[in-house]
Formats: sequence, structure tokens, C-alpha cells
Amino acid sequence: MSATVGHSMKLYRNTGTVAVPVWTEIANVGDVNIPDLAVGLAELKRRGNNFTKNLPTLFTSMAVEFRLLHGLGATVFDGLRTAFFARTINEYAVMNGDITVSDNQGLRLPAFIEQFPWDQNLEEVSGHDCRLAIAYMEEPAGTEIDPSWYTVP
Amino acid sequence: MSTTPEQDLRSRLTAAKASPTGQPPVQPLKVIEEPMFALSVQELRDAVATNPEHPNAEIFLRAVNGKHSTEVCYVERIDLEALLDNADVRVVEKIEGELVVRRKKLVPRHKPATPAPKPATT
Repeated sequence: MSATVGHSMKLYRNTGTVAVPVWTEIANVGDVNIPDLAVGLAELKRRGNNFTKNLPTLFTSMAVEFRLLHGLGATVFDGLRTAFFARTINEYAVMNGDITVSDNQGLRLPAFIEQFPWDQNLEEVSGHDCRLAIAYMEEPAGTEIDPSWYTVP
Repeated sequence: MSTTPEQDLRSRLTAAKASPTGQPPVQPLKVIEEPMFALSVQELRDAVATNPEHPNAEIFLRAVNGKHSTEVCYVERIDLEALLDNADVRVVEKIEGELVVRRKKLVPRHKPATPAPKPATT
């Protein structure tokens, strides 16, 4: 693995199942960020010690933020718009490069589109600052799907 | 036969590793290792047409529903092989160090037993 810029990284959406995924690239995106990849803290404050310390708790609610340009890639756009209005839970993969290239890796998580605002600024390319929120998902029924780390062997 | 202090220390290390308390904790984030395969939607539809009765066929078709035939999609190579070879896929999870690594394995397709023919009634 080497240093990589966001331009060569990739975002994918799974329209198959968890067991048999079929990924499609969401290509017409600008910045993609996972700002909430963090561990929660249980704070320890005691009379017997002068320092505030922490114990790790749960991983915080993960989210993926990306800028989707409006009017490009009609099929993918339609899929995302439909997923937003239907509140569909899909799997997404945030990869550090092409999903077929050996040694590439990334976060795979079930999520729904929490935010799909539409910016129509006078002198800017129109777009959507989308936000994916990690979701509770069972597939098949009774089997809970957690986030995982995809690596391409 | 007497052992050296170094051997004693080494054996204690080995014993610690074998004991449950000596194992490192397993990370909750599983690692999925699967080679992927890029193909066009039309190629995937053609592959499905060769074995439409396979369980993956319906999943693939539904996944590309409404997509242009020239659009590229990515499937796990073993899922496509299972469809083309009429095989099943088994998921194997293995603890490797601190990680749970999930891989798929191709296995011969399980066919439901054919019912015995009923005796002819006259």
C-alpha cells in the first residue's frame, strides 16, 4: 500500500445481496469522507487522580459523506435517489482504489441515505451533499450484518 | 536431560500462547478477502442465461435490473464461477491472529434427492 489521493479512490454500492454482492461504482462524486470512524469514550473523573481519563466503549455511529454531482451518471443517480426516498438499506464499500485490484481495501457497511439535499447555487455545479448512516440490517432474517473490511487478495 | 534457562523461558512462552488467556483478543471488524471480477451488465445477463436455475442467477438479474447493458458491475469471482460451473459456495471464517478472515470456497452443488417413483396403479 502507498500514499493515495482521494481522486483515485472509489465508492461502490451493492445492489445484490450481502452473500452474493453486485457492486456498481458511484463515479460522479467529489469528496468522500468517513468523519465518524471513532470509538466512544467512557470518562473517568476521580478524586484520587488529577487527570481525566477514558475507557473505550462502542464504535460510534459510522457515516459516509460524499458530494454527488447532479445530472451525471443517470442510472446511478436514479438508483441513489430511489434508495433515499424508499429509505432502502444497501451495502456500500468505500475503497482506496479499484475494487478489482489486488491489495486494495476499504470499509464495507450497510447504510441508508440519511441526507440528500440538493444545492442549486447560482455559480456552482449543482449537487447533493449526501450522507450515509450505518443501518441495522439482517440478511437472511436473523443474521445481523456488521461493517467489515474488504481486502482484494 | 536438563534444560537451559532460555529453553525454560521459551517453553513458558509457548504454554502461554496455547492457553486461552494467552490468546490476543479478536477484532470485531471482520476481514473479507475475495477477488472481484469486472464485467458488463450484458455479460452478466448472458452468464445468467447459461444457468438460470442457479440460486445466484436470480440475485444477479435483480441486482442489474434497470441498468444499461454497457454499464460495468463487479461481482465476487467465486459467485460467478459457481453460476457457470453449477456449484455451491461455502463461506469459511478463520481466526488469523487478531482477525476473523472470511473467504468463500467452491463446493459441488447439493442437489435435492429425487423422490422415488411411485408404483404404477392399475
